[in-house]
Amino acid sequence: MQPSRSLRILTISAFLLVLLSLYMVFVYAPREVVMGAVQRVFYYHVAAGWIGALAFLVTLIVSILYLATNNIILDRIAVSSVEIGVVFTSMNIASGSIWARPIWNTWWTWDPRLTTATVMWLLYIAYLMLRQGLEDPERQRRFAAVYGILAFASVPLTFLAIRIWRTIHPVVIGSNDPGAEGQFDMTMRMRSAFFFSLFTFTVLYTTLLWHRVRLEGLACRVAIMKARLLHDR
Amino acid sequence: MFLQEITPDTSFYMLLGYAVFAILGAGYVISLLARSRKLRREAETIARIQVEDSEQSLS
Repeated sequence: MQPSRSLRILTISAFLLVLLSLYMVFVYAPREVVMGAVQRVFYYHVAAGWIGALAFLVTLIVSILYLATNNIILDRIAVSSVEIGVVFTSMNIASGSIWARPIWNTWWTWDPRLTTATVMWLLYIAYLMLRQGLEDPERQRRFAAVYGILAFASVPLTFLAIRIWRTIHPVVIGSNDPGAEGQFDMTMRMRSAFFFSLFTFTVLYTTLLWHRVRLEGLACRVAIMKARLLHDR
Repeated sequence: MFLQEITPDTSFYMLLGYAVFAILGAGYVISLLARSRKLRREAETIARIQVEDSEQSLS
């Protein structure tokens, strides 16, 4: 089954937006004078974190709707969104660790933000693993929906961690903790590159989600074909 | 003049950071393509077996 025209247009648009956002990050945005070049990691680091949170929010919404309607498509969206969310959260955590090395002089510290982000990441990896552990598809879907709702508690906790606890992690929008290290004032060009990165990653997420849901549908059809073949024989 | 700060050269960490984005992003896209290709092949194989089975039952 070939992708629809809309999906092809979206895929090409996402690719072009990524190229344009790279130009914004590396050429258009100025170099930050205190941190140097590594500050440019910030644009994609925050955008990846935003997509992690958005993906898990989508999972929360479709999980609630699945429990209310039993529509299998919603379950496909939930698992697809978690998978993409885990990939982007992995990018967020790994890039943050790389940024921290020259700025905090360490690859890792058990700061509230880093700790809550890691707990969130592990919770959603567990979602993907535990789903595979259940044989009965109906039970698998119901369990995943309930888990997807409960696990979401870790998302606002991660977002608020730098606002409610003492932390060295800088706050991008809002006031910083006095102990925060690595904060900077964004110039107009930095702000443009930052919001453009957020937009690009949102389009990229939508594109990947669409492809991933189609893949889940294909997997379902193949499973039905296999079952029919075994039954007929 | 002596207190003037010099911007540190942190280019290596910037490149390392963007390498992570590239590797994880490309890796995920490749995994989607590989899974899609595998499923299409499976679907084709099942369809072929079904045709063979129906031909055998007719003969």
